[in-house]
Amino acid sequence: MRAVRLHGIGQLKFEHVDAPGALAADSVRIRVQAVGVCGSDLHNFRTGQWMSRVPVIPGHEVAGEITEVGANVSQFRAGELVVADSRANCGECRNCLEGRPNVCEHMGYLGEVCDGGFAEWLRLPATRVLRVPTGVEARIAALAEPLGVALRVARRLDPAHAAPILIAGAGPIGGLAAIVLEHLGFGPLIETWRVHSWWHPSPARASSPLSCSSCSANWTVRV
Amino acid sequence: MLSLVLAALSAGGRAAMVGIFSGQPALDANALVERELELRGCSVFCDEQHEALALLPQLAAKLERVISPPVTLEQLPQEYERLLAGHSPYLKSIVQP
Repeated sequence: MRAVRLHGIGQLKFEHVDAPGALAADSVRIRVQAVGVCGSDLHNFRTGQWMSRVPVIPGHEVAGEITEVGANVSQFRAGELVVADSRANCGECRNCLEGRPNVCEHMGYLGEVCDGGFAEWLRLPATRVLRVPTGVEARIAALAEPLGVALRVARRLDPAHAAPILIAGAGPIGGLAAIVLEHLGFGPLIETWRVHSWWHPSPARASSPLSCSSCSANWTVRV
Repeated sequence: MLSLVLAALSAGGRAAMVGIFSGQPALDANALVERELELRGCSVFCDEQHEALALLPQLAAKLERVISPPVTLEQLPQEYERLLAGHSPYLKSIVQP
């Protein structure tokens, strides 16, 4: 199959590799339809911080169609659109057992500890996929993973009603957090100029610029 | 950036931090104490991906505006370089094999 593999720091290659083999009884086979590129993909490519094995197929923001289910899988069927749960938590440490798998002591991720979604095919345990609502396209469904992170931020921030919120960051999570917070009725939002520009491309509305002396960021306030 | 965020907070304000920091940002511990500021880390999600899926039908039109045209697997190595150089006009690049 066609795939992109990470071979080391700064070494990302398009290749033809073997497709995933026989399906385990608890797993599903997925024809990948859309995968988001995460900031952590880029960070790992640049620094090798989470390079636990190479070569590996990165990509953890995956949406695709189930084409085959294992013998013991009853909750999914072929033809369903699903997304991957990016987490590969151990399920056995204190944090996992206490219902906090996101802070697993042995956390790994799809595309790091096992092959991810930058490929035509992917094989995952059925417990690691989630069904996509009817009518949602795969390229939108791929955003469920980072949108989940943005919702986590909103939950952890737990803002008071009408409290102003500064989105200090120009990346995808900052942008998605702004979308989520606005949708949930929080704010007013104060966005960095770049986040602001994603959906308000006209600079005419920009006002009250702030600047950061340490990182040269320029912020624009929208209240 | 972190010091500027802390300076921007009102007394009793709260910052939720997510993503990857480069280096070890300096932190004014006295500012946290004297102005009763809160810092909360945010790591991935617990059940929030389920909630995100449920929101997709309502947010799809808005999300469509911030994602890239399809990037092929063949184009992906170059897309990495483009993203690292900060040259993408999109919030999120989407690979469609």
